[in-house]
Order: sequence, then structure tokens, then C-alpha cells
Amino acid sequence: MGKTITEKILQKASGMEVRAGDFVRFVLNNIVINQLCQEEFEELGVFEVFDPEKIKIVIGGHRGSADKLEDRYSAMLSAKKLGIPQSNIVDLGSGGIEHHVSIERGWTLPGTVFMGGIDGQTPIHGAMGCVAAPLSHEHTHGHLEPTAVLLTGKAWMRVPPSMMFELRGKLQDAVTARDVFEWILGEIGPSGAMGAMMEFRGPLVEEMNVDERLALCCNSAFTGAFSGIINPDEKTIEYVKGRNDEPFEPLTSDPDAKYVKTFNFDFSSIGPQVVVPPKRHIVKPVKELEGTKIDRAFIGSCANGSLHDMRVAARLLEGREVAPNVLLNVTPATVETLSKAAKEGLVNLFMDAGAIIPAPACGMCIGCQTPLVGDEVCVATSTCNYPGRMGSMEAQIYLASPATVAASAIAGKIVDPRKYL
Amino acid sequence: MKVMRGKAWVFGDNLDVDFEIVPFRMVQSLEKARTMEVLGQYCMSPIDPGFPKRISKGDFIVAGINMGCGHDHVDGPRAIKGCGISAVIAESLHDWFFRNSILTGLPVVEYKGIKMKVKQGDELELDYEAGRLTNLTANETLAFKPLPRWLLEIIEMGDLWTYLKEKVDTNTLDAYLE
Repeated sequence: MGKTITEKILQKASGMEVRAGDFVRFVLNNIVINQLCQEEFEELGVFEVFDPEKIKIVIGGHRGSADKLEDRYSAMLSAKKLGIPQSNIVDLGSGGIEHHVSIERGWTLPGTVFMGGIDGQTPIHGAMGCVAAPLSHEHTHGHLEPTAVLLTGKAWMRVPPSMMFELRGKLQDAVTARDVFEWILGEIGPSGAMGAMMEFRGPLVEEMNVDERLALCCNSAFTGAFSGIINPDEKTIEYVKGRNDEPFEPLTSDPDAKYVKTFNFDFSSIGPQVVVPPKRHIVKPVKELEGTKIDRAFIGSCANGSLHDMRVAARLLEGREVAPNVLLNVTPATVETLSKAAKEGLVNLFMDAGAIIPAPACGMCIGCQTPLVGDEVCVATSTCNYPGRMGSMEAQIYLASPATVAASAIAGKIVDPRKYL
Repeated sequence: MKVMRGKAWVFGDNLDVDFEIVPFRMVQSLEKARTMEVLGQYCMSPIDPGFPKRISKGDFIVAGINMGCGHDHVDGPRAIKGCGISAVIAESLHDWFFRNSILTGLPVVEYKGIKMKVKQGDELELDYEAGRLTNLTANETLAFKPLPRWLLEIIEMGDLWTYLKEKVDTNTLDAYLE
């Protein structure tokens, strides 16, 4: 019987035959983290990590504030003491959101287990053909699992079953990969892929570029899934090879692999989707929300902070201005994306439209830059919309694609971007 | 591991770590003061504000499907453990909540059909190591597959940090997860 990409990767990593429900242990290939705490190593009294070369630190991307540099100070100090090479440290000024930095630098290698990126959007790495899940982490008493992983290289997980999501059809203009994911979430619900690996495939996925695939996989967990994954193809391999000379072996599902469930969706007639506050899984077609007044708009986050997303937003913002009562925040995910956007003239275009462009980071998605105040209403490409996520507990967060957010920022209310092309 | 005994507090489906279990904004604003005990005071506060005060130490949470969904934030299991709950039994657990709970030292059990077997206020007894849950009120024993030894060890030690510290102190880091 054939095997899924997930089974193949976990089998290779653990050196064992695996079945859904088994507990597996493995040594991680690359460990990408956004914090490194001096105090933990002091308390443990150990300053020897399993392999300094394999540890990559992306400073400041997560909190995204350049005014509070205690974490950076601590990380730099620990890195030196632990012997982590300077070339493995991505500082403010060259980094951004750690997931995007890792993918850009080719640290996210197809065919491997990616646990790092201590964050709920870790499934984004599944877009590159990795089995991806977050490490367990907290602030008050050690970074918990990351510290253990740095010392031993070892991590564990329960092998998830796989569900196949076969996606077909041609997307309408101004309908994006983000709309595709939110539509699926609306269709299957918050526990529709409970405990499973969502394997996205089919002609629509093959058609997507790497950036679009990131947007598709990023929020997988909100369907109850363990994570999301895409079989690597020529696009994936070419992307990674251009960025990292480390050898890798991409793995793909066998044609006769077994899935616990198969979904077959055609997206030709699907329009833009909007997630309605306060729950993450209430998804509606944009036409049901047209006219909802907004105070704030945000384009960015790991879900939609890529160059492709900047281009989608720019297409709608070109030659237009944000409504006078609205503040639009556009935050590219990384310095590389910001730099490329600037070269293409997109940054000027955003400024001309009246947008604020903070330094690349998670930023407004976690309320670290331009947080929401009082009962403001925001439409955002962020990942989450629970009360308080982007600032005030009373604020309301609608989630949508970069096209819908850009068009809505111009109109001052939620609108259908197809009418603004 | 000691057998646990307490009352069942029954909740619904899809409890989000950052929404129903413990509000993310509050967690963030506590910064370094977010000890397990402090988080415990806010456990389930958005849907049941008096919850932490009404329970007795050692009681159980019995939840529906997709318990602990949403983000990977470990504050969810920490808040539950911090308010004195001894274990969570659910129809299904989000995988990340499952992982986070074990590493926090909070015993968690998945049992399909648990909501049909346990009612609010029932007296429960949990032998986590043996994989046995007894509803003393209904006089019924349910069996589940226990965790592998190497994961039980983390819970027995208290949490991952204590486990890791012990491994370092006894110079047995090679035995991590073995």
C-alpha cells in the first residue's frame, strides 16, 4: 500500500514504520527560533547545545518592536555563549517574521520535519513540503520545549492521519489563496479536519506560486487540523535550490496512499470571503458584509505579508487614496519582501495612498504596532480575530484577503474588491 | 502516578485557547507575571467568570470536540492546571493543546463519547497511568490507551522544565525522551 508525504517524512525522520496515532521521536534538521533566553541556560547551568550550526535565530520578528530590545540583548549574549555562528543570527534590519525568513533563506527544507517557529502559524512551512508543527513554549519559566530541543535536538509528535483536499477550477480576478482557505474553513467548520494533516493538491494548487501556497497552508490549524502540507513540485525545488545549497530529498505522496477523508472542491464560482468576529470559523461571502464601516485596515502577517500579497494590494491601491477616516497599515513580512516591493515601486504607491509602513514583523497582527483602540472596527489579513488579538478587547476584527482589505480601506467600509479592479 | 479523584465540570465544543480558556490580551499584558496560579484566576473567565472560585482542587474538566483549538499558546493548559484542575477529558483534543498539556504536566485524555458517559457534577476517578477512568456516580469504568512511558515520565516529574532540569542535574540528558 502506498504512503502519504506525511507518513514518508515521519518515517524517514524517526527511522521507524509509522501509523496514524503512533508517537514518534526524531532529531530536527534546522531549528529556527525567535527568542533565546539567557536566564534558562543560567538556571540549567548548561551552555552546550546539540549542534550550534543547526540553530537559527531570527531576532525581533515576532514582537516586532524596535523600542524594546531586552530580548535581542539576551539572545545575542546567549548565542555567543552557546557558540551559535554569527551567520545564523538574523538581526533586526535583515529579518522579519521568522517563518518567512526561514523559507526565504531555504532553511525550510522539503522532506523534513519542521518544528521551530514557535508559533501557531507554523503550518506555513507545510507549503514547502515539510511536516510542520509548533514547539511548546512559554515565557515565565523557560522557553520549555525550545530549550530542550536546543540541548538535545530531539522532538516528538503524534502521527496525524491525512485528509486529501483536491482543489480545482480557475479563481476569479481578485479572489486569492486566502479566500480559498477561508472558504474551506467555512465549508468544513472548526473541527472539520480534526487531528489530521490537510494535504492540499490538485490543479489549483499546482497553479499557485510559492507565496500563494504559504497563504493556503498558514492557517490550517483553525479547521482543527494538526497542520497543512503540499507535495513539493518543480516550483518548490527551484525556490529552495536558489536559496540554500544544503542537500535535501523532497518526498511526495504515492498515488495509492490512504486518506481518512477526501474532499473535492471547485473554486471557479467562489467570491471573496470574510471571517466575522469574534469567532475564527464564521466565514461569509463578502456580499453579506458589504457596507460594514471600518476605522482600520491591515495588510501583512505571515498569512499575507508576501511579495505576491503586496502586488495584489498595490493593484487595488494604485492611484487611489485610503478613506479619510481610515488608517491603513501595510507591513511586508520581511526585509527582503520590503526591499523587493520598494524596487517595484510598491512602497511609494502605498505611501501615496496614505498607508503607514512599519518595519517588517508580525506587528499589528499581534497588536505590537498601531494596535486597535476602544471599539474600533478593523478589516485585516491577520491570522486571528479573537477579542484583544490586535489590541483593545472591545475592537472588532474582520479577516479577509489583501484584495478585500485594500479595496475596503479605500471605500471606508467592507466592499467587494472585484468592483474596484 | 497517583490516582486522581474529583468532580466533573462539563463544557462544550471548540474551546479556543485564546478566547474561552484564557484571554490572550490579558495573558500578554501580564508579561512576566503570568505564573500558572495567576493565569488560573482567569481560566474560562469569558464563558464562566466564577469558574476558578467554584471548583475544588483536583476536579476535572470534561469537554467536547476540538478542546483547546486555535493557537499553539501554552497558556491554555497552564491556566487550567493553575486553577487546580487535575486533568482534562474531552471528546477530542486539538493536537497542539494535547502536546502543550503533556509538556505543562496536565494529564489529558481523549475519549470519544465521554459527554454521553459523564454529567455535570459526577464524581470521577482517573488512573492515568493504567488508562482507566471511573465514573463513581454512574458506577462505570472506561478504558483508554495510556501514553507511552517516556511521555508519562514528563507528567510525573511535574512538567517539561522540571524533567529537563532533572536530566541535566543527573547528567542524563542523553536519556531525554528515551
